[in-house]
Amino acid sequence: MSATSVAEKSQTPLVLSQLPNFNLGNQPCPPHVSEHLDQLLIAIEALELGGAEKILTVAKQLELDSIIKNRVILWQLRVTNPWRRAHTRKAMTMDQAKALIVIISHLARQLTVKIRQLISAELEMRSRHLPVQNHFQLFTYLDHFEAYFCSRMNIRRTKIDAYLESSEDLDELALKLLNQLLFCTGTHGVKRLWISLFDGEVS
Amino acid sequence: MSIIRQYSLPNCTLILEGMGDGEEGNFSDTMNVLMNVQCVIGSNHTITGGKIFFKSLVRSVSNYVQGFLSGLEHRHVNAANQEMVSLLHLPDSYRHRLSINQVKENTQQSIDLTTAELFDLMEAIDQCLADNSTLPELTLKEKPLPRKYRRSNEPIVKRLGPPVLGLASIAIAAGLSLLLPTPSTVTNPNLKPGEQPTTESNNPEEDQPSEEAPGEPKIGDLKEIESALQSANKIEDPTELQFIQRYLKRTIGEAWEDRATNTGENQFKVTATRDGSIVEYAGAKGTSDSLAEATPLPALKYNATSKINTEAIADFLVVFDRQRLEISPWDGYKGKASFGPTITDSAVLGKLEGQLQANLKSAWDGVTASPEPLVFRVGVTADGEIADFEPRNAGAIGHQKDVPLETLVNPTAAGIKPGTTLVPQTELGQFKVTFSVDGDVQVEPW
Repeated sequence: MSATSVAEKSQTPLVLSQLPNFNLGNQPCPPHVSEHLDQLLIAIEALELGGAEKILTVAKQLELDSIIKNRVILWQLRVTNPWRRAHTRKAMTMDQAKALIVIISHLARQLTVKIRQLISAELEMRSRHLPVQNHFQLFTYLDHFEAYFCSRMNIRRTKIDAYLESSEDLDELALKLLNQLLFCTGTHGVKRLWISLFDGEVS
Repeated sequence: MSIIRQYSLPNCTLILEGMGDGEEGNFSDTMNVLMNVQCVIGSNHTITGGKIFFKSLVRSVSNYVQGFLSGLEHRHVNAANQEMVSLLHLPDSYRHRLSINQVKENTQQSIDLTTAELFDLMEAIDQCLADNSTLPELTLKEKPLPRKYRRSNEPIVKRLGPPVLGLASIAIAAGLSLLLPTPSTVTNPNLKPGEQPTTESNNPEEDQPSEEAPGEPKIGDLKEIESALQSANKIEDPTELQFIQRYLKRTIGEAWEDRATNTGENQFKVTATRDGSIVEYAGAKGTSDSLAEATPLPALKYNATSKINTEAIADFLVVFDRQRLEISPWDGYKGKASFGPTITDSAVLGKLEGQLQANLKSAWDGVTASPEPLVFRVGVTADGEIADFEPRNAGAIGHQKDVPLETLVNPTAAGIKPGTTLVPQTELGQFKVTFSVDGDVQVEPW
């Protein structure tokens, strides 16, 4: 079954109607959006072990299981990320992207305390001019992120290779994603993050 | 009656003071008129203002946060509106500078916010926007930036490199061309040997043929190609035919992108050389030549007559059947095709089998969307390099990209070079590799 056909026949779940649609000129969801959503999911998995299982549980709780039926469909959606080793050149539908971002924001809300702790730890290390890796909790997060990132991304891509060459760049990416997760824990967080994903993409 | 609303977050407290819409006898709790705003950020920063200040604060924080999330700056939006409140990223100190410009009083106040403080400020504003009983006309009005503001991932120096290099090469080439001597006399190249050059014709129509674009094939050229094709040696070795057929299937399959638009069954006779280059194609079995425009054949055709004269060729029937691609030799196989030279030493095969299994296991993440196992034939050189592979069941054809064979394959290890030859030049060990759905890899001799 192709990833693009998954959600076509089902009705749009109510929880997705809070997110606006954009004029993309008949284009499917831009690859950059798939890339960003997959990275945010990796950040969540790095924050909490067993995150991949939780994604499916939350999909069920939010009644999004008509779009994300099982782990195969979830995997098919995640490999629309062009950076992935198993990238399939397929694109997500808007509803699929919305479902993922709603799940990301729901999981981020559950992890608010941890995210806030890590962000204040990052600030503390930065203001003391110490390497962020020296903080135990930050180290654990960054280490998990690096492991997930390296095992799933296509190392033949120049961009991925650059990240693997310099662990500082990869740490910066992990921390940037952590900050973005903080912003999607808010009242309008999911909407703000959704809109920001399409910055520079609409006609 | 004055109404006060307070939104408290760990690092930010937003207090709005205002009134209802002022109608006589209307005591509803909705605040419609805003009089005063006080925002306490962190432990010791307080900013205050009126309605204009608050609206500007909402706009600036929204724009800035959107830019912070997407990585595309929204500064032009603030600059165009001459905002009272503005935000600036301070990357060195990992902070965000909030500035309030009081034009009338000519004063400026600025506070450096941490990311957590910025989030709390945004959240206080969002809670106020979501609260229907406070300023109901104020809502989140964000929208994405249009495409023209997209910034390239590459730094400007890198982006400018290629055009600058291009201009420089033109300049150098122009300079060098000045050094070339001017040709003294030009003789008509169409003249036969022994014929005297005549004076230039006064009739412009007579000059037409020589003005044809050099890239366009002339009628004479086409005849030449046809006769060359007829006289060329035909490849009949079934092994070689099969390797060319697989190469064509792969290259045409990869180049055929707009499959969805293909509705019928279009058949073509395609002539290819030993190295897999397509030298000629034509509609066959009722398909007109013009339909080839919708297929990748014109893009893949190799334009050279010299190639045909010297090389053996083979004809194939290529069928674009809706979304499917079928290729078979035009005259069928005359004999049984092999996989090229094969390693038969069982000790070597045993060693290669273990090595191949270990390689594939470590390279594959164990995930496939296929409902059935993926079966491939894999050809391995004596050094253990994967030189050739071929999907052997429907699962493998449909989900080839799920497994790492495409990234691991190195045809040059067996001397296979598109452009030279497609048949392995060294002996290969042939194995049957099964990627099972539960993430396991089995390797057995073919």
